[in-house]
Amino acid sequence: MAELTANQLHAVAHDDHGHLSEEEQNDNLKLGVWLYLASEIVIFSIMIVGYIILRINEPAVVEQAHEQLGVGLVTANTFVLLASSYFMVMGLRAMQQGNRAGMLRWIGATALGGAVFLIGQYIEYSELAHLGIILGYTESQWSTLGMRFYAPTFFHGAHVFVGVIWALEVLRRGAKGRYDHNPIGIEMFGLYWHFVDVVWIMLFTLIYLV
Amino acid sequence: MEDNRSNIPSISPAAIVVAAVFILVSAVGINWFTSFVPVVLPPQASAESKSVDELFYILVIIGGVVFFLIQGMLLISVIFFRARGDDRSDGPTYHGNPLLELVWTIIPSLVVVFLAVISFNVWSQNSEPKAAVNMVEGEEIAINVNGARYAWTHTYQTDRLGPDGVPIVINSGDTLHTYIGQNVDLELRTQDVIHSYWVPAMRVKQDLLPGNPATGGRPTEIRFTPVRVEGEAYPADYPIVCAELCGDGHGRMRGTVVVHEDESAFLEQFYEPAIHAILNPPADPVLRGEVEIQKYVCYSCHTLDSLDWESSTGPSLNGIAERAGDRVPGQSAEEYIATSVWNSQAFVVPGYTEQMAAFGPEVIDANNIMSPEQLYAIVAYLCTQGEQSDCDIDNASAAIPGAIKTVFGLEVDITFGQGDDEVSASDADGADASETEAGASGA
Amino acid sequence: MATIAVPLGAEAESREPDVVARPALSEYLRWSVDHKIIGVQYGVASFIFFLVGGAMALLIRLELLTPELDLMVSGAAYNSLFTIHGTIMIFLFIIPMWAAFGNFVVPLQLGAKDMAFPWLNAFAFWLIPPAAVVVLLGYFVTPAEAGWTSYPPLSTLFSGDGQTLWALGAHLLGISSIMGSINFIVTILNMRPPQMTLWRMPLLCWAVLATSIIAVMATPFLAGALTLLLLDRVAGTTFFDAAGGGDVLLWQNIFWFYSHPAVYIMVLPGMGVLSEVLSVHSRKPVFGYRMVGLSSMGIAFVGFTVWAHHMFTSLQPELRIPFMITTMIIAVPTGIKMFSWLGTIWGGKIRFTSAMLFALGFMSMFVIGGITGVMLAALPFDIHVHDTYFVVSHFHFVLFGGSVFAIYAALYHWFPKVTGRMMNERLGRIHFVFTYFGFLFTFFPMHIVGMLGMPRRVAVYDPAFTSWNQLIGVSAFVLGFSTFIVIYNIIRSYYRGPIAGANPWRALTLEWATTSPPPVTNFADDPIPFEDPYGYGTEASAAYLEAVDAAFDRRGARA
Repeated sequence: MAELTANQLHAVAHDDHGHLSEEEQNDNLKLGVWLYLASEIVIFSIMIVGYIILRINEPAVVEQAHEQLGVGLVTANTFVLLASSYFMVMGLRAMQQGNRAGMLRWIGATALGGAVFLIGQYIEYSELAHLGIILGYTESQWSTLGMRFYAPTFFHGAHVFVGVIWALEVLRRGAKGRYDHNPIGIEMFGLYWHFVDVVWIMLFTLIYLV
Repeated sequence: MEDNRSNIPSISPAAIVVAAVFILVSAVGINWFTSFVPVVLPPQASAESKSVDELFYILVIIGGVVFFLIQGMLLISVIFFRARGDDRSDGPTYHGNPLLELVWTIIPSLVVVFLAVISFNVWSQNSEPKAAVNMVEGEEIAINVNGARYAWTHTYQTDRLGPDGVPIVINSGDTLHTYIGQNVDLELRTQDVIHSYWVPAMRVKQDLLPGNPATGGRPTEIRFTPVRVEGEAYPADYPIVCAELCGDGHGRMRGTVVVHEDESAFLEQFYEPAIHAILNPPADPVLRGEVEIQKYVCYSCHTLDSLDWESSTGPSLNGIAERAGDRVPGQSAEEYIATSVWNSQAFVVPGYTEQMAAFGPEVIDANNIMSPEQLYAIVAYLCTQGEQSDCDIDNASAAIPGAIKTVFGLEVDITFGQGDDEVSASDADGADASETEAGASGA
Repeated sequence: MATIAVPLGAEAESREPDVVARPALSEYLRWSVDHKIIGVQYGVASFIFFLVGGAMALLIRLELLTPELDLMVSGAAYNSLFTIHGTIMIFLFIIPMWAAFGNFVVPLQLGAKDMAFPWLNAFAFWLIPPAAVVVLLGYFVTPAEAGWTSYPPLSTLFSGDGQTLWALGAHLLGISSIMGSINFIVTILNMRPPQMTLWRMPLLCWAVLATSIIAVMATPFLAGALTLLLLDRVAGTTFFDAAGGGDVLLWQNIFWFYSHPAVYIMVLPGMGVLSEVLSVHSRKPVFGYRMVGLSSMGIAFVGFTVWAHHMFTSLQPELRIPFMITTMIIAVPTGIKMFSWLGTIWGGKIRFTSAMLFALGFMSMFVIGGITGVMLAALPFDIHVHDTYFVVSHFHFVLFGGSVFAIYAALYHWFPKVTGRMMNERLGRIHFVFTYFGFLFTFFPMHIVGMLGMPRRVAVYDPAFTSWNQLIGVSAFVLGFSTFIVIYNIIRSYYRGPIAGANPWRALTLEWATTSPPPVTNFADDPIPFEDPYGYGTEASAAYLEAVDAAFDRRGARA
């Protein structure tokens, strides 16, 4: 052991020293996105719990809102978002099979789905505002329903909006061939998009169905 | 592993001597510290304080052992295990000892379990509800505490009836009167932010939580039983302190617990005189105003030399009668004062912020209810504050309907002293109707 | 096995090591993705905030020299002073200061070229200056005055616009902290050299890993709470307004669910530093390495279950007991660390370097914070001292006696690596003596005034406490003065300190197996870590240290 020399301090450098290999970088990015999403879950759960408390304490208000509103629009919206998640998977698969044009089409469809969802949410918000359900506290029958409803759904809508922007960026980069050899960028966007989708399924179930 | 173990430094006799000295020092030190306990804690003025302090002794003794153990080992290490002179060698390669690690995991675990158990015992003993609380003349009465920025108000819902047949409510301001052996059980409410009612001598503390006034607020409860303190002269005073940051005047938000020697002293020195004063208010509006104004928390923010008030949160009331006529164009001095008391937001003196609570007959908070008679008396009193008063005291009663209109936009015309509607009280010279109203709303 | 003689410390000067080029000072003012530059940026910025926050603390003590309001124009001015003091010390000093050492040291200890996400790293740092500006801008409107805990309704219905700015600034700082922590977790988990298993990782990395996991899981609670607070303040919602169907305790629960773990965010890296410093400067392996590493994780985990002990006087009485129990349990992993450190120095060859003095000072002071922590956990006693100066004293023993002492230990320990020059040891010792005694006499008497009946956060107090407060005030100025000694030492040593060489402390962890300061890529090749980061006293370690010396400091001579 005492024979160690200066040379033994350093291994013979493997493949590409000074930089991380592509594989290492991909692993890092994926773990980073997972951690980011874990922290997002926390923020969403605070808002969701805020809604659940209202649901338990004042079921009548919520049921009244359900009756007035119906679930037609939001069900369609949910379907659109679910479909966009499917497009997302197809887009990633297309790229993994080297089909750039296919990827662009599917991711484009994903972005479109997100945009349609946002339009649907806008229409729904307008209807709610018409009923008098607003973000701030009101003296009306709705009192605190507004803030407990808008906080999680708007926060989710903002995530969809960011997702649409991200999808457009993926399209821009994809068109230049950035993902031809390493589709990690699409994969990261996919993780995010599926997360947004899963959160929506939770919100939809909790707010509109239960 | 075996040859590693041979590297444990053998403990020299000197180290044993040092260790022995340290054990001695820590024993003496802990003893010395506990002898200071009367100095580091307030008097034990409640039954609860005895068990809390016993728990504190145990915590200090265990903490002291840990403290001296660790400081002692540190000192031994730095004395005996320092590299001396030109000693450039490494220490022994000793990576640990599972048995020792187990020991210093298990022993602290047992210690904290022990502490948790005795703390739980003290807690359940102290928080057990008591029978026969707030006994006065053989009856349980309700004692309410109101926290407002930046003052405490204590109200006693007595079982004596006033001339109008409504039970009398005693407002003792920032002072809680009790007597040795009375099981005190206070209901605490805040009218603005979170406060915390702390009586250090009783070792009790409870936050006051804002609740929805429409559903009766969110009352919290605090319980203690005063006991005799050796060598104390009775009635004895103990401070009440606000322990939760509540804003500008947080540090000034104090009060006093007055412990009377026994129930008869309590009745004689506090209870009966208070009821007598309520039943016989001064006829002179100025004198009555001097009494009334001290029932509210005005002193917590304003300076008024006549009453020894000193605070800079709100504008000074010294010489208010000289200035009042110039504040708002078109408002006479008495109108301005009346408006400002009932609705301070109507005109905020430049340099100050809107912090003052609303007072008036319709406010939800029981402690801020102020009937037109009370307002009249207070305006009359404030009109005397100043050498060249602009006020017309006789006109003060006329100013009040105007004030009410300005404040609440009421459609009814209220004429002072006629008692023809719910807002106005029935009898200006009679019983303190507002106090009874306060009692009814506070329930 | 005989003990191995290895030259140490003082010989660094006589070996005449190579002078290594340092980055120009202007590099530190620019956007850079080099973790070493970012580390120094974090460090210097945090230290400046430390001075600002410290100056505020001295103003607080000046005001408290007398029981009346004299220095401040109003109680509100005093309230905003301690609010900003707390906010700066927590969010702008201690948390980013650990990001400084984590950034500089962790990639080096892992033998990595940089952090996993260099760009994100820089971005997280550059969020801090604007956030600080936003928080301090409040002074030009109506400064936040609800304390750093910002309890509604004081912080919502009864505060001015400064409170909104405060919340926005805290939000930005939280985002910065989350980004930094994600970066640390990925770096530590994914970028270790193949020979370095988790159980061979230096304990600072363990501590930073535990800290970062807490930060990623807990900081979003702060973000969520602040979002709701901002909505209440600006959008008319009533999440925390009881009159509108809200609940004031909701804030306290969410806030402390973040802020109690945040205490461990501020202390765990210091514990990691202590494991490094004590081992190196007493030339002995860390006693019970695995338990020290695992106890970091234990503290991180249990730390999430104790939050409501901050609410012992507001929580429903029947909910208080479980939190008392969990709070007491957390003393056990902390105790394990304390005893393991004692085991580390016991029988070693202790060198009284400044770094070591501060590490020993940490142990000596932190134990008091630990003991009072258990006392505060004991519910009946806590009821008495809750929200008093006893609590102020307790958390300063943890955050100053703990974190700040550890920050100083880390400064003296790694300064040679960062700048290539040694700090002045004599000034370091003087600094230690002033800090240690200044600290002790500032904060220990606070226990007593608290128990006697002085609440915290008051500008005016019962005149009975005047002499205690004057003792505290004078000591605080001694403590404040001690800071100038270390500032002078840093500046002087940066220019005139003796050349450090690669490994002045003869340490085995990888950050010392490169030049001081390290080159841009940190290591010329992929370094191989020594088999045991704390394996002092073996022939193999002696040979390894000789080889490090040979490779760097005497490279020119041998060639």
